[in-house]
Amino acid sequence: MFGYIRPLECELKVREQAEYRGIYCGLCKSIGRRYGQLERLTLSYDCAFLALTLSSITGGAKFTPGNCGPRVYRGKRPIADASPALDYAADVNILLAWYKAADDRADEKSAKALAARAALHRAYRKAAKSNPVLDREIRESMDLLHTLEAEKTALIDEPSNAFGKLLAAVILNAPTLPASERKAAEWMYYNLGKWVYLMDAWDDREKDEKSGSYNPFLLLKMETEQAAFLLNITRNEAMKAYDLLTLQTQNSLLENIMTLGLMHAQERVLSGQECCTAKDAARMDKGDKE
Amino acid sequence: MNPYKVLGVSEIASQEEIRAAYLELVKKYHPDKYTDNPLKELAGEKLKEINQAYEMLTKKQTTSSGAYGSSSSGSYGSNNTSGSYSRTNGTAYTGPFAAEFARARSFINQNNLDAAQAILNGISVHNAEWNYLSGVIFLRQGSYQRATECFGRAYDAEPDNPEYRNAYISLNNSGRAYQRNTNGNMDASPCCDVCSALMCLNCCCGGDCC
Repeated sequence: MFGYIRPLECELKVREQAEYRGIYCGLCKSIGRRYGQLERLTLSYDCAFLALTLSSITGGAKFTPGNCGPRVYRGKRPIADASPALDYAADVNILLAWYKAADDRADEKSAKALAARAALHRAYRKAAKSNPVLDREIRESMDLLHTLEAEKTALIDEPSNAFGKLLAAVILNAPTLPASERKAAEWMYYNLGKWVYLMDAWDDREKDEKSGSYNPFLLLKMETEQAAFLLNITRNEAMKAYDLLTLQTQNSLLENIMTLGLMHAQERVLSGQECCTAKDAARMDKGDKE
Repeated sequence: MNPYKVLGVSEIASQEEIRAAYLELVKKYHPDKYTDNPLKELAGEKLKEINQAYEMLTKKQTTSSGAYGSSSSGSYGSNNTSGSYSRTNGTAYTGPFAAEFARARSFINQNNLDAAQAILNGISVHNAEWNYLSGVIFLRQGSYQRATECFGRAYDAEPDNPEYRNAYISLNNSGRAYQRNTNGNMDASPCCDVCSALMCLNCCCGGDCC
């Protein structure tokens, strides 16, 4: 949906990268199998991360070499076998894509969002039917978000908490999540949700300023430093919860995402708009001379 | 319980390896990291578990180097898991609304944040104690912006109070620094560019490297 939660690929071992791709491909195939070819376009990194978390908690995914549909020229690659974790992530992927499209339509009233919504309607009905509780909880969070947006709440805690609750609901409704892991997983996903909301809001400041859309960072006139402060606390809390998860397999890939991946995404987004860090300035200088 | 599995070491691990793995885990589950955190109890349980595992493995060898802080200075976690918002430093709060604040603290201990919040809402004096307890509630709800503000006000009002100071400092540290040392190369050096790295990989391995 947002794509902020992903590994820092240059730090992955070849085997870890293959594992990540395998999960990603497996998720895509699962969406194709359960919903249809068109729906595979909604595939997101965040849901690959969900599948990875769930399969690490329950004992690791199995892989079989296979082809990716039309891209036969790539040869066979390991693809994660169908599993309850992947199927659940596929459902979540559809639900989130649907609500995102609904959200975009309300925000921008663009034809693209309307088309996406129409195309996803059948898939959404099916996903909601197999996960009625999750669907209701996501809708409640989105409704709360819309209310807060309509009220132009000049607070960052409320809207980000609403989105945190949404992601917490996603992990808590996973059928394969063992009872012993619920507490840690909930706090981890709650904070990841908050973090994603903050990242997205910061990233969209310019766009929202132009269109006049709601953005808490703009309303609060928040400086980069302060935003980084909140992002760091949120990320650290997610990491503390992650540390308390009992994983069945030592998973360096998950570790990469939680430490390097999130941090890298955060640095990129924070420095993206205004190139204010020393590092960026130095790089720009160099570029000018060359 | 398989102590080797708990500590994440192989069954032929040496005493040094076991100790190193154990210390690493103590750092991971350290109670200081989880004060004011909703996962405090879970972290305490994990710590207890690794303490037990470590004791089992060291007793077996009879060279007993003793679990971290066990028996001699009180095992790690046992003091802290029951840990509480009743004041630890002897100086109990004696200002106005002392009874109400004490009740709010005990609700926070039971993780009943709504009840604690209701009590605080009924207190008209917004002093340092009020701000501190509100901050703890916000922190546990994930409302970090307001938690920071509340801890700041509590600390400003009574900078000498160790409880307020610790809360303020630990939240600020969490916001300023990256918690974990990562030596990953975050600069965009040419071979770190994802696309070219993938291309290289595919070239080297003929497209099915795995």
